[in-house]
Amino acid sequence: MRGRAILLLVILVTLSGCGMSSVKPMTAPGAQLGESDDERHLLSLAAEVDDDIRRAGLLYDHPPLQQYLDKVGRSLLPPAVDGQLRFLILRSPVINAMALPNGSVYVSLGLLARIENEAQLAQMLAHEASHVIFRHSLAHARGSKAGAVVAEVAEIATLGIGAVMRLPIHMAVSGYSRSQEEEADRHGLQLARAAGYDATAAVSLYDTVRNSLPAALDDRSSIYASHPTLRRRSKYLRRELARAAPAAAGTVSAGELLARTESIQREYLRLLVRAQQFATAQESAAIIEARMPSEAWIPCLLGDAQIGTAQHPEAAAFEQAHREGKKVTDELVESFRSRRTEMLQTARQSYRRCADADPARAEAQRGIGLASHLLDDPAEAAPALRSYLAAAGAAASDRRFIEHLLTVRPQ
Amino acid sequence: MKQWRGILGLCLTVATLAAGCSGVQRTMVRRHPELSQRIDNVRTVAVLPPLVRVQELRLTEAAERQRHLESQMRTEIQERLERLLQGRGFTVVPAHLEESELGQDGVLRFALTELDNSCEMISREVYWKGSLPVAEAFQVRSTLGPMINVFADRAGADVLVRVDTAIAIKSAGMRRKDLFFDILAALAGTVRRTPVAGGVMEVQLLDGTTGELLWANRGGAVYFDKVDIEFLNEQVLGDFDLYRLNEPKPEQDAPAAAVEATL
Repeated sequence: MRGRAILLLVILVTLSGCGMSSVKPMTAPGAQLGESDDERHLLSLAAEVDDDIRRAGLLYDHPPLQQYLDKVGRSLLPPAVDGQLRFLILRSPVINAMALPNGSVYVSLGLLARIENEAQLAQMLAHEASHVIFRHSLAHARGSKAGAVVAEVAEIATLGIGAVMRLPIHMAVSGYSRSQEEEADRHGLQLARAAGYDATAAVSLYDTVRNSLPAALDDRSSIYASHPTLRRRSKYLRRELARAAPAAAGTVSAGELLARTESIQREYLRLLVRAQQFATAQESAAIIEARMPSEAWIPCLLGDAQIGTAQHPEAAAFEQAHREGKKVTDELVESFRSRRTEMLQTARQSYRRCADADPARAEAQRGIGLASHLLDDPAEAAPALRSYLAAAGAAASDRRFIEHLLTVRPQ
Repeated sequence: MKQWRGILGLCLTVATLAAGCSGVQRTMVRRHPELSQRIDNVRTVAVLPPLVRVQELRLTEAAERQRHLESQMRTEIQERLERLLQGRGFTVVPAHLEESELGQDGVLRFALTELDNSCEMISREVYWKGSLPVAEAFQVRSTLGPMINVFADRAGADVLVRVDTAIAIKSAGMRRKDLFFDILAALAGTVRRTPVAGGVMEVQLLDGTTGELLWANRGGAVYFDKVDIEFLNEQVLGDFDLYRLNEPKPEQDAPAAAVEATL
């Protein structure tokens, strides 16, 4: 009985492999996007996803970083596809990149904030560009999971954006098959090397991403079961590199990448707090502070993450359970709830540190005021909140809330 | 598939309720403990553009969004909700968040996306255990914080209402497959009728000043003929037991309610 089941499984796997039809890459002579009805359908769905992303305000408007991304991205592309791909920044803390069949390549702010050098950026862009060049969506759509790629991308990018923002752990959740991912990795490495990037630095991309995630998450690094884990992808790329002809050391450009991405670290941290990734935000704040020790906004956002933990024990429990691959329990929620006062005091300390570094910073006073209010310490809360309102002036979009706090006691 | 998970969750809830093992009344409604005091101070309410996601489930392909149906249902839900609120004595004011009003304002668009996302997180926070005993469900405190102020100020509203609906409709192919199995079941002497669609809906009332969740409900329905959004509305809004008296209240400073400070 068991033998039959295994035989059946082998046949099914073989058949599903057969279903993945080969499609001419965009670089092949005479190849053109939208040659068939099914591809035109995919392209129209991709255009809808692009539109949903734009309408949701998820395109991150940062001209200097955008120019940098364009420069690196275009340097990788073969002449045959030049002008057919667009590199865009997705305003999300998720560590992710994705390619749509119409040539839109999205890189999340979370991923840009975490990578370490330009060679890694090149490898990541080249990987995503390779999915487009090889028209993997079309090949996949003609295979066993018709239409799944764009539907899944659509689900992630728009319908399930809330879920995505809550789980900033996934890498390249574009729903391609394992063989397609390997092809994109292999071809991406070739493109990065051809553009003069250092291959060893490029293949360290997955190690960097893996190292920035809790260890328990690596085996679940993709929401798609067919997706290789980061560890496997890293090993695969190293094997490919060992097979390739040796080349002179290429460009790494760690300094330039880090300088270019400094300005997004603040938004990255803010997005993590908004996504209730409080532990990740606190860890990231420590990493960023080690790099940029004089920035006063870092302890302020750290304080926000700590207040968030105090106020949303369920969310903190969800995050911890997810990171440990466990289920959330009443006990776990209760353990966060019982640390409320301690977290609020820690948050107030962080805001005080922020105020010490930059006494004119309005959000430091706001944070001290909020933490003190929640600690039922009106003597410290009221002057700090008033000071915040005075310093922020018309920029205080939460004036209504703060003025209300000045009239009430916490519960 | 998120929709079907929701429906499954609802079925489990119904089953639990039907079992009545503990004899304790359970509910999917969530209420802020001070709701009755707060509601008396609410005059204006704005309905945020309802989120409606309709997918057609297909036999051989991935589900596909049905945008034309989404648009129809969005209008229908909004109108019904506004009528209900007006009938309860609230003054409904426009949220000023229609597509044409958002224009090229990427900042506001993203703020709205973040608001939606935070509302989803609140939902997860208050519904992770499913139905609750009434005594517990009517003591729920959860808050979005002041991020709501931008939208409440824009509308000039005391309270904002958010609706999130997900509907899955089976394609003609899937219905034929279901019919085939229904007939097989009938031949075997079993009566079986498979639904052609299902939906889940969640409504949240949010304090425009503090961002606190004042009231929420979540419900679902399966359909054997065609999707009837009215029925889904009834499932969720049938428990909407909030009224504001039409008689003008004497102008006086209401006692300041306790509030959670948040980010």
